[in-house]
Amino acid sequence: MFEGYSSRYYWYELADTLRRLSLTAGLSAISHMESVLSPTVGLLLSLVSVHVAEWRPFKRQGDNFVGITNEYVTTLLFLAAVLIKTNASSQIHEDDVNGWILVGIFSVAPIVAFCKVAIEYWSHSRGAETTDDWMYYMLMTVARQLLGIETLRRKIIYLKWLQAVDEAQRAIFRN
Amino acid sequence: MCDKCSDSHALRTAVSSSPTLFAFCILVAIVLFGIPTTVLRDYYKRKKKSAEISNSSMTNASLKLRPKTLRKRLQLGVEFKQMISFLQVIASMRYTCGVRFPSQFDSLLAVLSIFDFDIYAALGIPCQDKHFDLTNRMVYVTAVPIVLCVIVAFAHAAISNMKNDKHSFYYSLWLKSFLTLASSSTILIQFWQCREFFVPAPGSSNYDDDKMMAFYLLSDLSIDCNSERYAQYSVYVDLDDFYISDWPTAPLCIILHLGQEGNSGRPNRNAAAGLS
Repeated sequence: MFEGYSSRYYWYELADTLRRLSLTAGLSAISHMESVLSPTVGLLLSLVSVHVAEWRPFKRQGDNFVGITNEYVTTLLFLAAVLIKTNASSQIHEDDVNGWILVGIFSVAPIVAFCKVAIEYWSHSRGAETTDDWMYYMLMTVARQLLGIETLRRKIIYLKWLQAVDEAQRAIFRN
Repeated sequence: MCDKCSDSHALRTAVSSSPTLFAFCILVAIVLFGIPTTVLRDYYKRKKKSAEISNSSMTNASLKLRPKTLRKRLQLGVEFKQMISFLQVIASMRYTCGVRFPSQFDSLLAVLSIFDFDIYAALGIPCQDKHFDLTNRMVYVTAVPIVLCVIVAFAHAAISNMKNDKHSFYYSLWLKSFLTLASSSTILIQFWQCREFFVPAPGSSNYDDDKMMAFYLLSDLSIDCNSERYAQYSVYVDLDDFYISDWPTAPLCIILHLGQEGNSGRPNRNAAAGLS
């Protein structure tokens, strides 16, 4: 139950339950057909949730990243609900593009979670021992690539320098 | 009624109107259920392999190390929990915000209502039964916790037979509450929300002259809050859900678990200060 949280945030499960209850049952308690109150309160609550998720309560940095992404996606969808409710766009119901944009915003969360799990599993299968080793592997891979490019760049500069020296020597001998 | 039908035919509508969207939902389902299944399969494969190795030739020290690394591969509970809690909040947005989203996103939310245990609406049962309303939906949605309670009790019995783990019971209760608390709470609050309307008095022809106040359920205007049927279901809600199911168990098991495991989870200040 508290396995994923760091020891400082062992109480976070209770806070998360309260957050879920307030964003589902709490909002339905203040929901009215004409009022914009419930999506606005939902937006404010999800903004608070983003702030709380930024405390990074999970042990693994990947879990924190997924949690923050989920909160941002929830906030954007509540913002969309407020905009629809206030008729910010007159064509919002008819326009298919708006629907696909919302589907796209929603899909960010499962895609990020999938990528995180895939990278983590991939790094574990290559012998990563600690929980954050996948990040180390990713960073090392990126660093290796960058170092490779850097080595290549240095080689090119060296070759150009050699050419320049060679041309300078030839010019001196000609004179 | 049209709205109710279109909502309830969410799966069919999603398949017929937008196959891409339906394919996307299938992908989400694969991500959510496929990955743990694959990892579990991998786990058992490796467990079998390690058992074979241990049967042949392996030292005790290496055997002790083996399950630890295998356990690390199975730390997917956090991701699963995060996604379920995210999907429950998003799926309930159709009811909580009172917003009619664009059709593509609305179909997606209808399919995601499975995560809120609103399986009956997603499968189109309400359209087959003309008398299906919010009270029936409430009974179905709140019946799931009771069924889960029974399953969890059996699971706990099985676990406690296998190993003597006193926390597994609290964990099982918490799991049941985690899955069902949001959905059952939402529908119960919807069931209590009655709103007054002025309707023409029975037998009168002119609305302006002779009107009376009536109370109807905000989420389903076909239900009269003064009717005998509503009163019967109110008794059901009181007995079944507030006193037996989620409300008492969820906070209780979290607090109990916090009390028991929170101490072990907290950093040991004496140890940190070197005062063992």
